[in-house]
Formats: sequence, C-alpha cells, structure tokens
Amino acid sequence: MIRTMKYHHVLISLLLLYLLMPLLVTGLYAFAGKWTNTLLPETWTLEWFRQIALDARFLHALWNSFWLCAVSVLLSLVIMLPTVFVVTVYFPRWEFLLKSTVVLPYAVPGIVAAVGLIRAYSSGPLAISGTAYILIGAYFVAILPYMYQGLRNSLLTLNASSLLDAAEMLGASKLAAFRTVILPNIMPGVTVSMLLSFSVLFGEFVLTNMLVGGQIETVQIYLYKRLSESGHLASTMAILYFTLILIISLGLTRIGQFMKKGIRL
Amino acid sequence: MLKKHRIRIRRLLGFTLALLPFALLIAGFQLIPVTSMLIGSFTADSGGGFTLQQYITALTNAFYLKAIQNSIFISLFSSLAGIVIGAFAAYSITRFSAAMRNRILMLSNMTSNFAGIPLAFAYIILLGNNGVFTLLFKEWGWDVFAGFNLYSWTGLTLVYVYFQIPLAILLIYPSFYGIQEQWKEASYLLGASPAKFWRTVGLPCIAPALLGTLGILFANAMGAYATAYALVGSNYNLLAIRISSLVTGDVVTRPQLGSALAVLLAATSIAAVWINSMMTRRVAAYTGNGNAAAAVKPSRRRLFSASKGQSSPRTITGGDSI
Amino acid sequence: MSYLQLNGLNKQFNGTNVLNNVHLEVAKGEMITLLGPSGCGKSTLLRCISGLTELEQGSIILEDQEITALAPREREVGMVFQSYALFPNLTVSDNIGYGLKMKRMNKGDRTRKINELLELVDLSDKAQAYPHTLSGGQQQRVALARSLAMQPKLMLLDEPLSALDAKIRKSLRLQIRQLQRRMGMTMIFVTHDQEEALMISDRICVMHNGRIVQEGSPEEIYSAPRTEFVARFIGNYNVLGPQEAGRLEGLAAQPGISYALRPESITLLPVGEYAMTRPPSFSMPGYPSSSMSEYPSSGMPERESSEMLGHDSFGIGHDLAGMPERDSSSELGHDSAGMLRRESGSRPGRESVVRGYDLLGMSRHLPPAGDSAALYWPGKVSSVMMLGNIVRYGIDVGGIPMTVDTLAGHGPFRPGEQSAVTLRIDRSQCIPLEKDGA
Repeated sequence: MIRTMKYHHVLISLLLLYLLMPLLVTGLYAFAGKWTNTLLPETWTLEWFRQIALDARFLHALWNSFWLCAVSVLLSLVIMLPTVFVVTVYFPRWEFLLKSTVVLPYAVPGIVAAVGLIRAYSSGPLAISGTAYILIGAYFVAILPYMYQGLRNSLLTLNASSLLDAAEMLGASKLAAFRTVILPNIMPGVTVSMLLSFSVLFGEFVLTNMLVGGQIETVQIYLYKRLSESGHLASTMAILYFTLILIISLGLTRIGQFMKKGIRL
Repeated sequence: MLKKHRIRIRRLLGFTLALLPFALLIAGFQLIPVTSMLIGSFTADSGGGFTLQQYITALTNAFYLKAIQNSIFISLFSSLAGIVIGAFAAYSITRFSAAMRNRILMLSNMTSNFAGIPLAFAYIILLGNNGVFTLLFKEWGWDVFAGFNLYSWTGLTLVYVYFQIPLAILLIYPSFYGIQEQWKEASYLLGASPAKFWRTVGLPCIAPALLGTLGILFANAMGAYATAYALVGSNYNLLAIRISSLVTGDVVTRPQLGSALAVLLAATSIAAVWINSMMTRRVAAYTGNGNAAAAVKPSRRRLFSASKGQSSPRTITGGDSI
Repeated sequence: MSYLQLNGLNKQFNGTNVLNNVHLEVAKGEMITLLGPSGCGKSTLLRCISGLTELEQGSIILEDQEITALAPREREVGMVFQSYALFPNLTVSDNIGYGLKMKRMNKGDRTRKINELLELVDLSDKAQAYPHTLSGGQQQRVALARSLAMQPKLMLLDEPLSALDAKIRKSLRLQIRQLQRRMGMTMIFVTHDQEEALMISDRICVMHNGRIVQEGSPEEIYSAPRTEFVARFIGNYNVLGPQEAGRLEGLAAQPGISYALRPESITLLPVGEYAMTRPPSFSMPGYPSSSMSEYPSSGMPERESSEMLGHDSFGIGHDLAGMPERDSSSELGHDSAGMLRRESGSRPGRESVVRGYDLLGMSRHLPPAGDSAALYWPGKVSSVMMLGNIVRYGIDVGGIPMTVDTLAGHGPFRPGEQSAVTLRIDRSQCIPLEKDGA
C-alpha cells in the first residue's frame, strides 16, 4: 500500500512540475536581469515592471481589455437574467430550446464564429466589422454557456418558483418578489458566473484578433505584437495577466465557499 | 373576466420585454452569422448561385487537404497523449486525501488558464532557440535534445499536449468516482488481481468517459488557433490558421472557401461534443447518475456542472483563447 | 351560505382534465382534507384556490366575495408549501414579517406581531437564525407562522408534512390541528397519507382523477368506502372484484358487485367449529356500531387518544394505516381453482348458499342453522405475520388471497401456517362498492 502511494506521489509531483514549469520560468524571466546558461537568473531586477508601468500602449490595451470585457459581461447579465428567469420559471418546457441555442458557442470553435461574423458584418447595411460593437456582440455569444449555466443553476437550487409563489401569497407583487427574494439569493451565483466570464474574455484571442485585431488593441493582442521584441517585457505582461486571472479565480473559490456554508445548505 | 384578460395581456407583455433583447442579440450574432457562413460556403468565389465547388476544393486541393490532415494528426496525437497522461494522473489524484485532492485539482485547473499567447510565449522562453532549457542543455552537452526545434511539428505537439492534460484530468477525474471501492473489494474476493479488475470491470466502466473526453480534447485541438498562431504565425498549414488567412489574410482572401472549411471544422467539433454527451449519459447509466462524482468536484466547478445533461468543460479552460 | 364555495372548477393541462367539475362547500372554522394519490388533482385544486394556477372554468367564492379573477395577493388566502419555501436570505423573524412588510405595517407593530407568532410556534429562541440552520420541522413551523401572520381568511396546506420524518410528522400534525381549533381557522389540507387525513380532519374529500369521489367525516370515509378506489386507498381493505366475489358464498348473490372487507372484521375459526352467536360488537359513540369490528385496535379512537397523550406507543395502528396499498387489497385476477365457483344461473338467496356448500362437498363448513347474519368460508393460512399487538394472517380462500387481522394474544384459536380454517364474517361487514368513476 505504502509503495503504491509512493508511485502516486511521484507521478503527481512530476505532473505538477510539468504543468507549473512554464509558469515558473515566465515568472523568473519577468524578474531576471542577466540569465544565460545557468539554472537560475544571475541578477534580479524590477526594471521590466517599471517599463511596463510607463508603457502607455500597454496601459491603453489593459483599459481596452477591461472595458470591453466588463461591458460584455454586464450586457450579458442584463439580458440573460430576465431570459433565464422567465424560461426556467414560466416556460420550463421551452428550456431545451434555450439550452441548445446557448450551448452552440461551446461546441463551435471561436475561429468558426469569427468567420460567420466577418461575412455577415464586413459589408452591407450593418458594416460594424472592426468596431467594438461586433466584438461585444461576439463576446456576448461566447460567454453564453457560462452565464446561462450559472444563472440556471442558481435559480434551480433556489427553487425559485416556489419561493415566488410563497412571496406572492404573502402579498408581494411579482416585481417585488423578484427584487426581495430572488435577486439577493442568486447574487453569489451570478457573481461567480460574471467573474468567470470576465476571465474567459480577458484571455480571448481568436475573436479579438480576427474581428478587431487591426483596430483595437487588447492585452492579448498587444502581448502578441510585443512577443518577438523583448522576452522580458512579454513575460512581465504575461505574469501580470496571469496574476489578474489568479485573483479572479481566488475570488471565485471564496464566493464558492461562502455560498456553501452561508446562504444555503 | 375583463380584469383577468388584462392581467394576461400584461403578463404576455412582460415576458416579451424580458425575452426580446435576448432574441435580437442571438439573431444578430449567432443566427445571421451562421446562416451567412453556410450560404457563403455554397457560393462560388465570384458569387452567384449554389455550388459545391468550395467543398470540393477543400477536400481535393492538396494544400487544403494537407491542412486538414495536419490538424487531424496533431489533434489526434495530442489528445491521445493527453488522455493517457490525464487518466493516470486523475486516478492518482483520487488516491490522495480530500484536502490534497482539492489542492492538486486547483493547481491543475489554474494552469489551464495559462493558454493561448502566454502559453506559446512561455514555451518560447523555455525551449525556443534561445530558451532557458535549450541553452542549459547545450551547456551540459545533452545531445539528445540538440535536434529539438520548438517551431517544428514536434514542438507544436508538445505545446498542444500541455494544454490538453489539465482538461483531460478535469473531465476524467469525476468518472473514477463512479467506480465504487466495493466493486474492487468484491472482485478481489472473487479472486481477481488489481490488474484484472481494471481490465474486466474498471476500464469498461470508464471507457465511455474516456471516449467522450477524447472527443472533447480532439475538438479542442482542432479549433485551437492562438497557440499555433503565436508560435509560428500563419506559416503553419493547419486548418484553423488556413481559415483565418482565407478570411482575413493580407494577400488574397477567399472568404467562400474559408467558410466551407469553417463549416467542416464546426461539423467535427459539434460531432465531438455530441459524442461526449452521449458517452456522458452512458457513464451515468453505468454508475447511477454520477452524483458521487459531482460531490467531489471543487465548488467552483460544481456551480457550472448542470444538474442534468453534460457539463461544460470549457468553463475552466478558457478554451477560446487556445 | 357557506364560507367557501367552489363551483364547477375545471382545469386542463395538455388536454387532460386535472380538475373535473369540482364542487365543494366549506364552513368557517372547518378543517378539510383533500386526500388522494399523487396526480389526482388535489394540489392543483389547492393552487387554483390560492390563485397561483389559473382556472379554466368555475367560480370561487370566499366569504361572499367572488375571488376567481383576483391575483393571489388580493385573495387573503395563506399557503404553506411542502418545500417550506422559506426565503433563505432572510432570518426567521424577517421571514415571518415578510408579508407584514409588504402590507407596509409599521416596524413596532410588526415586531410585536412577529414575537407573538414566534411564541405561538415555539421558536422564540430561533428568531435571528437563518432557515438552513433549522430542522425540517422547525422550518415548517416558521412557514406556518409566516402564513398565519397575514391572518388569512383561509389557510391552504400543500402536503406540509410529507418532507418530514415520521416522528416529527406525527407531532406536527397534532400541533397544526390544535392551532386550527384554537384559532377557529378554516383550513384545507392536502395529503396522500390516509392516516394523516383520518386524524386531523373534520371532513375528508377523497380525490381521484380530478374529481372528489367521496366526501365525509373520517368515520364515514373509513367505515363506509363508497367506491372500489376509496376502499383500496383507505386502510387495508380486502377488496374483492366482481369476479372474486362471485366465487364466494353469500357475496355471489348479487353478481357484478365489488365488496370491501376490513381485515379485522373477519374472524378465524377452527374447521368445523362455528361461533354460534355473533361476536360482541364494539360500540363507540359516534360510530355506527354495526360497522365496527369485533376489536377496535386499528380503528380510530384508540390510536388518536394514545397520540394525544403523547405516548409513542408501539404503533400498530399507524403501521396498518400507514401502508394503504398493501398486498391485502391486491386484486388477484386468476380464475383458477374454482372450488367455490357457483354453478351458473343459480338462484340468489340463502338456500343457494347451503346448496353451494353441498355441491362442493364441504359440508364440514356448513354454518349452523339460524346464523343467517354471518358468512362462512373455508380457507388455508398461507402466512402469519406478527405486527406487535396484531397478528396478520394471509389466507387463501379458494384461490383468493385475503388478509385477516386478529388481536395478538386474544382468543384461544391460533392457527399456524398451512392449517385449514373457517372464516367468519358478518354480512353487514361486507361493504358493497360502487364502480369507480361513477
């Protein structure tokens, strides 16, 4: 038994080493001064971070990424919340339709979605290709599965329709019932979906590059453009990006734990 | 009665208001593009009526056929490698204590965020022409690695395998919980060795899960774009890269042919996802709904695994950026 | 005019009638139970009364006011749900005060009212707790208090106890009944548990396929089931279809009729021995004495009194009643072993009974002359089951399986398995049934 456990330990250690190695090296590279022919860097520096902080283009790309993702996620929330609510609570029989609509972006690669969008909107009455509008629309579709899944699961575990019935029997109007009973209870779940969607969009490259690559610079696009110029700067950006994703992920787990022991069983 | 009528109309109005924006956005950014792409794929380069010419070109022209073959080959190889490593790793993870399991899974899931451009870049630092390991190996005189080139097919496959493993672990891991400890004990009491148990009971039980996961991994690799694009630009003859340059290329664009290739790519992915959901259903039938599996998933995942039907693995991979 | 009137309620789901012309009148302060198997329409009826589900036809009048077209919140009707439906983001106090807040009651009054209700349901110490920290029984008490806070004209309870475990269920149903009596509250209680219905109701409505098939006091429902469905649903009746009844002496007299026989109304006698006199019938105020069996153990009153005293006595009665669809009432279709089958065309009447026995050469079972009030059948014990203070016999009566309950340790005759016995039953205890759907 002990011997087999040792095998599992070795296997998992190797696996984690393999998975974490690219991350570690990128991290080291971001802080490295001189690094040739040695296992670890010979000198350390914060120079790359200073340069990044002063790089107006990077900051602008960061801002672009941020607002594009935020707008898309908020748009998705505003539109998906009533949709999922109405369908799960009042028309559960039509759920399959919503589900198959929403699962499509999950089954279809981003490159395919980009082809369709470019064909539809590069000319004609709605030539929005290359603008933020088309990207936000594409982002909206791309995060549908996450938003739908999160919202629907929150509503189902909440048993929303019986709570609504109860609130109505106690004299609340439909709107008041939604505001006082449903909304506060699905908030943690909704926040998780939103953060997750945000982090997915933040790392998005295919749609961004194909739809607005020449016009709008996001972090991913900027990273791609600087890739060949300075390894140190690129790794600093990669590490910054990854740290952000990590913070969001930690936030997700925290909310998850809170939900487990807090609001409901 | 009049009042009843009015209430009904108000309700109808409310539902319409709630659903209309969604319908509009879906029409605009999903239905219209998909239709436009389908129509495009059946149109000749010069425009005009219905033709199958684009599909014929895609499947007969040596250049595009090669792209499809390359994509299939690298996808198949990387998903097979991913699934073998993932299966062993996932089983090993189940042998750890609950706290350790969660920690390992968290790390594994974390690395799955590390995809696309940053991943390609990390590999360049590690194994590129001036990569840390490349220089170290040269210094230490490890000739075995001298012939290695990150920008070759081998290199690309290596990077693909990297992003397949966490996804494979994530998808296979729950199915091991469908195999109950009592089954093992029962088979030992009936005289089977551990190896025999796995061959006769264990593997057959998780085989559908493995096959389904293989489908997802395959689709994932087929659609992967960013990694290859960042490593070698558009010089690589891969399906996703061909599509991209046919539609948005700098020199010549043939959007109709690009559409046809995109339809083919979409068809493979949808088929793979469909296979996965069939297989997931079969696993559930074997192991009694896999509730046990859901219970051991870390909380964040659980939120997104539907109570019935398939779970959505891309939840975690940020797969769109790969 | 009655307090609540339901007139010709109809409701369809996907083309099937879930409610089929339902009429019901409820008096003020009455406790009505809608009893029936799942899918019989009882919950739909409740939801239609509450306004949560829309009616297709019919009218609902509550305290002289037509409420058919009103929104749920305008009806002054309270409802308690099976799933409790407590708001997980609110404390116990806030849950109870939710409706009052919607009514815009001021804070002082609200607090006072909440405290009163907390005391009423004995949860004052849990005022600031969140619902998920409470047990199921406590949660349902909060839900009850939350509805009571609104002082509804009518209280609807939709299987409020079925998510709870047996012990809590029993104590909570008594609490609900006491509360209802004390406050003079009009309640409609939905349940599929016949024991629950028998214990707490003033009146029971048995529902089947969207109709009320029988309506009456618990005693009436229990002792005089009107149709085969009711007989099968209530208690452990031996239900004999027309075919089976036709094979039994005495019952064959009227062909084509089903009968219900309570297992405790049958007496077992040694072969060839007959009880010359009628067994002393147990009489009880309010019970038609003829319908009561020779011993009362699974009858209502004793059980209820032990509950009231708070004993958790080894509840045979509960077990009996808690298993409404036991094998005892299963209808055996096989037409084998026609050893008691009467020749066709025989005249009905007492003579033919005797003749029937003679024909079958079973003169050993011939009843004593003069006991025309009882029927005697030969049988063979196929199983004996000890259920505490009751011994339950499975008996094969010429191919028809029957259940007979006897008090344990009562009487000298204790047949074992495979022994031949004579079954004795009063004619008055063979309850003729109407066809279902009539």
